[in-house]
Amino acid sequence: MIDQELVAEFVQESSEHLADVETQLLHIEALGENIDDDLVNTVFRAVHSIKGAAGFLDLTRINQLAHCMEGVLNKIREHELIPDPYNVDVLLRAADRLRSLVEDVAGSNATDNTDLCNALFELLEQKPAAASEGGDSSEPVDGTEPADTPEQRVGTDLATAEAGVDALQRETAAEPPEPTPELTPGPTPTPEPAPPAATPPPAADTAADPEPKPPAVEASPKAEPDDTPARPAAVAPDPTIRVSVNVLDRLMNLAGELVLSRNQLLRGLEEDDHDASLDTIAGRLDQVTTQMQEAIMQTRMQPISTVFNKFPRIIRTLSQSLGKKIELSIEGGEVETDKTIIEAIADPLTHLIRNSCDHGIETPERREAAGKSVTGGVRLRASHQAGKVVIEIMDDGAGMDPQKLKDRAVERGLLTHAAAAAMGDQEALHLIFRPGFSTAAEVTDVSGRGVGMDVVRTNIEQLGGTVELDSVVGSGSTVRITLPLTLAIMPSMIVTVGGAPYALPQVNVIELVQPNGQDKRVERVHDVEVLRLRGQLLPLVRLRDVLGDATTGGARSDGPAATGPLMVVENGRHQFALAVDEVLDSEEIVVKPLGRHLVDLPLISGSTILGNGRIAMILDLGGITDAAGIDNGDAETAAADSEAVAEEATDMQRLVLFSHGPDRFALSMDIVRRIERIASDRIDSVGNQRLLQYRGGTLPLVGVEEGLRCVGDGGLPPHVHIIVYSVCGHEVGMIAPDLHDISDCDLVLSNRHGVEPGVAGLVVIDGITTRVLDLYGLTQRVRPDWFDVAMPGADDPTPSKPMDILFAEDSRFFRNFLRDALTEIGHRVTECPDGQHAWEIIRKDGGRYDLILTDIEMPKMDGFELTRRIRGQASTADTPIIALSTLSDRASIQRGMDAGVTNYQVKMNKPSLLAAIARFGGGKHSETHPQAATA
Amino acid sequence: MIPPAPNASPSVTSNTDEGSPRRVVTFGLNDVLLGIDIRVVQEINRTLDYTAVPGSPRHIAGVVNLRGNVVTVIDAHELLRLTAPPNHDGGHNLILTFDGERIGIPVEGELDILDIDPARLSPRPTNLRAIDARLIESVYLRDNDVVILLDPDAFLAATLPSAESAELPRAA
Repeated sequence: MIDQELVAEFVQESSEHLADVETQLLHIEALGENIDDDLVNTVFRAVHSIKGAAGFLDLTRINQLAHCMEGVLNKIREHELIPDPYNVDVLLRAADRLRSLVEDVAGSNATDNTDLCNALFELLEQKPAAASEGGDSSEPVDGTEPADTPEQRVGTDLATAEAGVDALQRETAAEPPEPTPELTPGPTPTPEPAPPAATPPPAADTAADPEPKPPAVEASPKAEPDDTPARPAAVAPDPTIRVSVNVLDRLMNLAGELVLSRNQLLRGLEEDDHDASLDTIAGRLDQVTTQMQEAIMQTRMQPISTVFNKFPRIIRTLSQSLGKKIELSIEGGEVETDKTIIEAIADPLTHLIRNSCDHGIETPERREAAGKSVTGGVRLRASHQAGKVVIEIMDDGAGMDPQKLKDRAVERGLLTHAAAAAMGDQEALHLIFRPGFSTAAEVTDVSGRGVGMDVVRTNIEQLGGTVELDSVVGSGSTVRITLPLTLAIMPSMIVTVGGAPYALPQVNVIELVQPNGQDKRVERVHDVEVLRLRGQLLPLVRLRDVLGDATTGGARSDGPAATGPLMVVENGRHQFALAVDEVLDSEEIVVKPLGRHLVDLPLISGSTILGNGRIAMILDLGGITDAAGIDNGDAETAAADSEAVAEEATDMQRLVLFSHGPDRFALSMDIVRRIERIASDRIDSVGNQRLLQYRGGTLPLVGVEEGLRCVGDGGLPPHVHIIVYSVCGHEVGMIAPDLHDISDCDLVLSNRHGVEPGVAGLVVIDGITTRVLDLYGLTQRVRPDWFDVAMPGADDPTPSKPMDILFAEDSRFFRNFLRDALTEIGHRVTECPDGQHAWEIIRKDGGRYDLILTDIEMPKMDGFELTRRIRGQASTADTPIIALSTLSDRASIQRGMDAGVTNYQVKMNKPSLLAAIARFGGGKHSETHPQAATA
Repeated sequence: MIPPAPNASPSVTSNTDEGSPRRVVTFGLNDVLLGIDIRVVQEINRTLDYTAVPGSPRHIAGVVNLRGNVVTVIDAHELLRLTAPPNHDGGHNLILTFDGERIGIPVEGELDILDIDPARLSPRPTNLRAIDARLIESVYLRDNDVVILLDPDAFLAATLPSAESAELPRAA
């Protein structure tokens, strides 16, 4: 008889109303006697619409309760009742009850809400002095109460009827009428005493009354014009449509599939020879896919206030039950994150908030004694940081005493006395995350609910997030939660172990390290391998050992200690170095669930299909941490001595960092001539080339998106930076839409396979994967014509005869980078990781090399010493030696010349270096090259 | 590809009674001729390269990419305790569906489809040693050989973690 659709709509709409009511009531309470009429009106209207619709739908109990609430609200609105914690509490409880009734509409008529109605009614009766017009509203159950005045009765009945009409006319989005009893001219005074409120407003009432009502409907808004925007129906800024989550989930999955196919397509195109027009199409597809993926992810984003909004209430309850004064401030409620994450974060957050109130904030007496304000503060703050969501929970309470935590851990047998003594304060704080630490002694009804902080941590880590803790005794604690924006698509590093690819979520990767034997080296401490990194010792875990023989083709045994790349990773409070065979690439992976046979695997959290169609397992760092037995209690970490910090880093490169859309790029300062800031509209387009009128000439411009896979679409901000460099005799400007910084970075990672042409390698800077550009390769990709046309010989590397080159360089990055460049044009390259190694080869067989390339700063034997020795040996006294350096090394250039270096070249300037090789290589074994001039 | 049977219910064993003509897919595993109800067979593939899953039970050979889905591959030799895991090269992958989830089994030998004549079915013989008896539904006698018919439910159950205690990964 009642349209189920209508009921469903009622539930939906009422829930929406009620969602806001709680916050609004709390606000009303906070304002106290400074009653904000608009705010009260908003709540009034919300309750009122529920009442009306419920009456229409014959939901008598909902109608009754709403009716009572409305009465109290009206009294507040009339300033006859001053909101205080007590009466707001009753209203809050009523709102709660209303919510539970609405959630279970079908059963709502069988509930008994007499207690609440009585409580509400008492509020109405509270100040008889003010209620000169007699008792407001109707009264529940208690029939002895004075009857309503006729006006009053009519007013409320009107309200019911109007709302009923409203429910029918919802689509019109008309501002619902404001039934103000005093102002409503009662068309038909009801003489008989009010029926007990337990009786629903007779159906006839609502059904029959509409005709006489319209005048009233019109009258009220005029009399009391107010259009508070809080009512959803009143404001329609964006046309919206409700979409089932299932549809969104499906869209999300499809987008994931599309991303996979795109990755495969792009990978395929990179490998094959094909029609160039395909590249354009693929590029477009790439862009659209990315944008679509973002848009679909956007649909799943919800503001974090969805979770935050329940905390004012919780804090309120807590401060009452704990006898403390606590004020909650919320920032960043508008920060959005994936629905799944929002849902999953609610419980851990609640727990943390409870902890702050219970254990953090002191009692008012103590606070006073400590000279703090009596009211304790809890701050909840959400923000976006580097593609992650950060939530901080800060309190200005007592803080945590590391010593006490240690004592307790020892007491509980979680820690030995020795370990406790060696433990730093920061680590001691993290003891609270240990299973079994939860403090049974302090179980209160507030935070002692059987869930410890270990559960909180596990929950957050399951979402791919991390928890950190900071505390200062006496002044408070801060818990910092870092969460990914979405779970479905994860930026990840792809690494290989034993020939099999694995994905490591980017959020866990802090940096990539290539040990150089100096400030970055692998050592053994008490039979455990550690990485000494800039004075810090990190446990070293060999992924191969952890994964065991499960990896296929793992024939290779452990080679010399950690020559491969190391990844410094972080899992909650654990930081350690992970040794892998190779770091391939960074890829946005789509998480594919594993079948039921493979749930609960300790080391693997899922799988993904890579661009090449292979399946990569996604590593679960938590499991790896456990399997490797990494424990922050390790005293070795503390043993890191400052002596090591003094060791100088050698492979620091000065890089210019810039972004193009979400993509980050870097290029070596050594090859940059100038950087200019210009207005984007000064850029001219001629055909598909961009040009800049510049210093009386024309500067051709190149954008990264022309040569590389980029997410951004090439749109430019009003001002851009132009990075001017020179290649093959051309001066070229690289457009940097968003220039960040020039910083000294450690180039640690390279990979021969997997990176695109035009990219020298990948580095992680500030936690973001950054592509280091090979400007020469990139320019060649974008402007192949410049390379086809005969170049002035000095700049043209190609004519040089194939040579045997010995190449000493400790940075694998440069070794790979230059080795590839040299072998590509036909040279045979012998690589040496340090000077000592190079010297051993040269001593035995030095005569066969046409050219020696050497880095200056190398472990074991540096470039100067190597040069002196080479010069001191008859067979190699005349072999050209090109020393590689960074520009900052100018002081050492003279030293190098003194030692016998033939020429100096800047590492990243490949064209210039190749030209020099061509020149000097010609000297010994081939006929003299005509170009003898130096660059 | 054989499309999934419309009513691919795992409780196939209940349909073994007379009336419904049964078909099974026969395959070889280390010279043992086995059969499994065609209703749980989704398709047959060339053996694909599978990716090992560290820390998984011994009888999980790995996972394969089946048109964008990650499908678990069971090492049936290990599961059925058949000796000498052979070289899978050139073999086939039998893709089975249970409750909408697919699993793959690399098999050898000629794959065939066999129409079952109920008269030739016999309960599992007690002296059949090659295969764990609990996984056998019945034995089908042919003129010159026998086909051991697997019980799909029991087979699936045997592959699941509860059936075989999952091995713990080696800690470093």
